Amino acid sequence: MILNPLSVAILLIGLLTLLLAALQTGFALKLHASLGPSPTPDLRTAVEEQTHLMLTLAVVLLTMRMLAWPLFYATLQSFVPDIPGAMCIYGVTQALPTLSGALQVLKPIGFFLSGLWLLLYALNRAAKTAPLFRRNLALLAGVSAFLAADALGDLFYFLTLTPRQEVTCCTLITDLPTRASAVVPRTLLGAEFDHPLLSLYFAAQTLLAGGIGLALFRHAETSPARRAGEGALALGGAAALGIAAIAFIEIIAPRLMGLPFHHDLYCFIQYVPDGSLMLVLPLLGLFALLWAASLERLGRHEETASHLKRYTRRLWGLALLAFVASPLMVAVHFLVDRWLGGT
Amino acid sequence: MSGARYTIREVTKTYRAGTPHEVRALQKVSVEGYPGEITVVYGPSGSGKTTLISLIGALDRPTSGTIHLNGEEMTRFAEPALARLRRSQIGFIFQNFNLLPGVPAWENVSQPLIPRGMGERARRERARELLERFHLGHRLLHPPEELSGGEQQRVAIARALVGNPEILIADEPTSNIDEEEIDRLLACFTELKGKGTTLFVSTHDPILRDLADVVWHLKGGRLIEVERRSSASLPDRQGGPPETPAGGAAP
Repeated sequence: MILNPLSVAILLIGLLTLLLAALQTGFALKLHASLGPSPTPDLRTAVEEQTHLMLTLAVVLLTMRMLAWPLFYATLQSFVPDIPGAMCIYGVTQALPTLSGALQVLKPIGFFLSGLWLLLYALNRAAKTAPLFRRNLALLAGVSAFLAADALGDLFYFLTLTPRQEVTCCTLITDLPTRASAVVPRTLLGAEFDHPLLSLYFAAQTLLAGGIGLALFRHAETSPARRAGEGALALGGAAALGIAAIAFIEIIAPRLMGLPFHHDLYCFIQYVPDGSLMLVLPLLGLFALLWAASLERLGRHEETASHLKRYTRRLWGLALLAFVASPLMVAVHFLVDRWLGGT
Repeated sequence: MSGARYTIREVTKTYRAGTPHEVRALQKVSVEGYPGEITVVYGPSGSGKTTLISLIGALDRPTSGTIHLNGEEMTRFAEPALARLRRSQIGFIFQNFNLLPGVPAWENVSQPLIPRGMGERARRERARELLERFHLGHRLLHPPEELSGGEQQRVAIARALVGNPEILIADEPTSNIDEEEIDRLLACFTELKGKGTTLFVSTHDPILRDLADVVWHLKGGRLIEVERRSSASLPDRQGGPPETPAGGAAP
């Protein structure tokens, strides 16, 4: 274990999350079982009184996990001097590569699931008879169990990571000509793929933003058409995110870092102050599209129809903002760099 | 049920249902009420008056039976929807006023407007307008502890009216005020009735019975009599009550 203020903080948050999430899972499952499909008014009142505490717990739990996400990377960064051979976060993650990889995947999924629960909760509150209450409790139990697993992973990872493990520097892996991120564009766009890939990146983001804008102005009234539109946008979002990820690794990050042959995103977020935001925005955009598509399926009810439409539009608005803002930030950086280079 | 603002059907309320300490506060009560009608709920202590007005005011749910408000069955509503209903359609004057101590009169009055997202300036203006109507324009900045009982009650009435409720519920409104204040209160109720507000008054006070269109006599949780007065002489009123007394037949 490597002991510093950040590792102590993440361990504390992990421990608290684990306890609260276990409690929350049991609480939600118990209420779900006791409520039944058609509860009596007295039972309903009793359950609603208990859900106030449950909601408070849920908000504390979700907030802690949201704090744990950036703290995870800050803690890894703080370990760089302690791990022999590490020059950035990438090196630290190589000490326990499988577990660190899994934790980095679990965190955004936890964020997505937490957001989905909050949206379903708000949708249920907006309806008169709370028709999604049991579904909401079941989802909360699932999300809490997922967050507990993530917290357990954090605890195990930070307790077992030792300073003696020697690792390789990122440059020895990410900058090889055979790196995975270069294989796809080289196959599809040829050996000189820089300019075509950058054009593809801006075209994909613009096309997706246009699609979302079109959906916002011509929102389908019928449910199947709306679901098809939401599904198409979610798929488009996933494709745009994939293109953005490759473009960032291969062209954008090296250019903005001023290191044309270095393809490591951990170094990118370290060297470019707003780099994290540029990377997180397309992910947020995809999540917003997925939230809209998931809500259409999980939150459908005659009482929620009008609210669902409003929620979908807002989520699409958020996705549009995210998918426009990230390439805009990249473009501004390129223009400023060009202007500074010119002077 | 047509034209009725609220309809109560076979409502029973049992506290601690299914335990040895079970208390049946209301038993199979059925009544309805109309816009512009004053209903007085009359009965001795423990007869179920407060329980009944709490159910009408969406502060509680019945154990069985249904309550419809403007045609919607509010007994099926979840707590957030009931809260929105209380906020938008119901005003409540509590027996002990329940004003926030240490908070100026205008802020007490404007509290129900906060969840509506109204800005401070608009809330203050609306509160001032109402407090001036109740002759308390010079008391805007005074907290409840600096007001007399009658003044506190007027602040409580202003707070109940600030959201323009369709239904106003008053629990023993004359128990803490003097005769002059009672006259003002009666004038206020008459004015609200004229504007189409449905009023419910729970009381022991005979003077309020004289004002009523309908008097419900409660005893031991049962509605033993529905006495319809002026409403019987207004059969042509739009949305008015049926010619025969509505529900509530004595068991």
